[in-house]
Amino acid sequence: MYEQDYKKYFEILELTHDTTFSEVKSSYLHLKKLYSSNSFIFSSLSNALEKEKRKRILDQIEEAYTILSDYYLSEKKQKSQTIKTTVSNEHVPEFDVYNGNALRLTREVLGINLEEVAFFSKISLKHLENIETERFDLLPPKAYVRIFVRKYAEYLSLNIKKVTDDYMKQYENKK
Amino acid sequence: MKNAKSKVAEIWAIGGGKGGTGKTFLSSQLATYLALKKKQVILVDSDFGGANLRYFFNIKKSEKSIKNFFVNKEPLENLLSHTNTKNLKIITGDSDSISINTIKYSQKMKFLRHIKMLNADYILIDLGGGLNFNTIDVFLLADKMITITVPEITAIDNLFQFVKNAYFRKLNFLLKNYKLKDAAKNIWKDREIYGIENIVDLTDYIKSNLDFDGSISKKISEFSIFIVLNKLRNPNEINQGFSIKSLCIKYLGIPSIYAGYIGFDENFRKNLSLSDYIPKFNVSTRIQKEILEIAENIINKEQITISTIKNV
Ligand SMILES: Nc1ncnc2c1ncn2[C@@H]1O[C@H](COP(=O)(O)OP(=O)(O)O)[C@@H](O)[C@H]1O
Ligand SMILES: [Mg+2]
Repeated sequence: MYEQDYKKYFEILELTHDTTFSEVKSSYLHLKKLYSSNSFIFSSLSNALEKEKRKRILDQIEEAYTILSDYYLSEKKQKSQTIKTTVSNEHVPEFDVYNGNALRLTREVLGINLEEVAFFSKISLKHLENIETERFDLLPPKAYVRIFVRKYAEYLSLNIKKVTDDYMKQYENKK
Repeated sequence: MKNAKSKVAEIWAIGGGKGGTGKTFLSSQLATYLALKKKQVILVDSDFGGANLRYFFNIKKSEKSIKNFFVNKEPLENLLSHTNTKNLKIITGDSDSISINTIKYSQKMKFLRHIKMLNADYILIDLGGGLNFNTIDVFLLADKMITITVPEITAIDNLFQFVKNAYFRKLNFLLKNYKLKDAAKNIWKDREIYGIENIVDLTDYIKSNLDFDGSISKKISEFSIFIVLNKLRNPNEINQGFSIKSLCIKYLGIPSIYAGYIGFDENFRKNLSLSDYIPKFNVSTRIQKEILEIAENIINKEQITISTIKNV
């Protein structure tokens, strides 16, 4: 579906297309509640076909919300995909051993900041900083560190197994 | 006095059916806000039944009022009164000498023409209550049609009636220009034959059967309104604005923007009873913020969003 085809669905939810997903959701919930209710404001406009019309409106709202949810979801996916392709196209240095410093350098070559990693990987910024600077004492238990490093490596499109193994070996040694 | 009109003013009309919903209050606030933004503003009291705008600006009943235009045929620009706000002038009303029902057609047309010719950045028109067609015609003159209501069924009902009447009248004017005088009326009369149930169906019928080059549809879709909700006593009532907007869109087929809301202000009464020397504009900072949001939304044709409200 092209961008302009979504216009209709934004209109059904009484929004413009430049809105956020949370706004889409709020509007959907409000309209759904309104047209399922017996709000006093209907009393001045109702007519014999009221019930049918409301059903039609509710169906349209439901359809618009389903389609727009998918739209926002796929837009998000697309965003993370573009990041991954740029990663593979860049000249990324390879390290014999991946430690915190190697992760930071790779990230910097790719022009990615830590906030971005934190946002997409859902790892807190503090933990990511401590992973890069190898402040093992400030990091959570081992199992978590492994998961974090895994996610971080995945986001940078690195060899996940190699990076995690390398990193965890140093973690064991230095701790 | 400039003799040539140098700018094209944007006209805002504030109406909405019921009396006491805050039309005069809102128009005086919006006018003040725009003037403080260094725009030249003229505010016209066009409530022929209950002209009271001058009280909001502490202006004494004077020789200069709209009466001079209708009775003495003076030009409107001679009737401007200054206010305490720089850049803001008003034309006061006079309900003793003119009544909405006695204005002749030619007088009304002249009034509409002359309002448009006033020299300003913005011309705001404070309308009277009721569904009188003279009131509606002034409303239809505006570039931005603003309606205000309060969260009560009678006021909301009035708003729907007002908007519906305005829309129907606009449709008739429009079709008249296409030599289709009375077409809307006649189709509506025979609506059962055409399978038309409501105003949305009627519009669709006109668009698909009478509009050969798409220009009627384009003009019809230009009719849009702004909605303001006033005198809220509870934050839950903010949502009613979205409901009213939704019904205007889905039941009347009219593009509508919920521009904002104003909470009930307990101090309001006190302000109005202050001595004559104190300007009547000591509204709370909360109301100022609400007015700012409404005004900016009207300027930019934007609406308030449900999620921003949650953070209030
Ligand atoms: N937000 C508000 N809070 C409290 N009182 C208000 C508010 N807005 C308007 N009023 C009161 O309502 C009355 C009617 O307002 P007004 O602007 O004259 O309405 P209209 O012009 O629609 O008849 C005013 O006297 C004013 O005291
Ligand atoms: Mg008034």
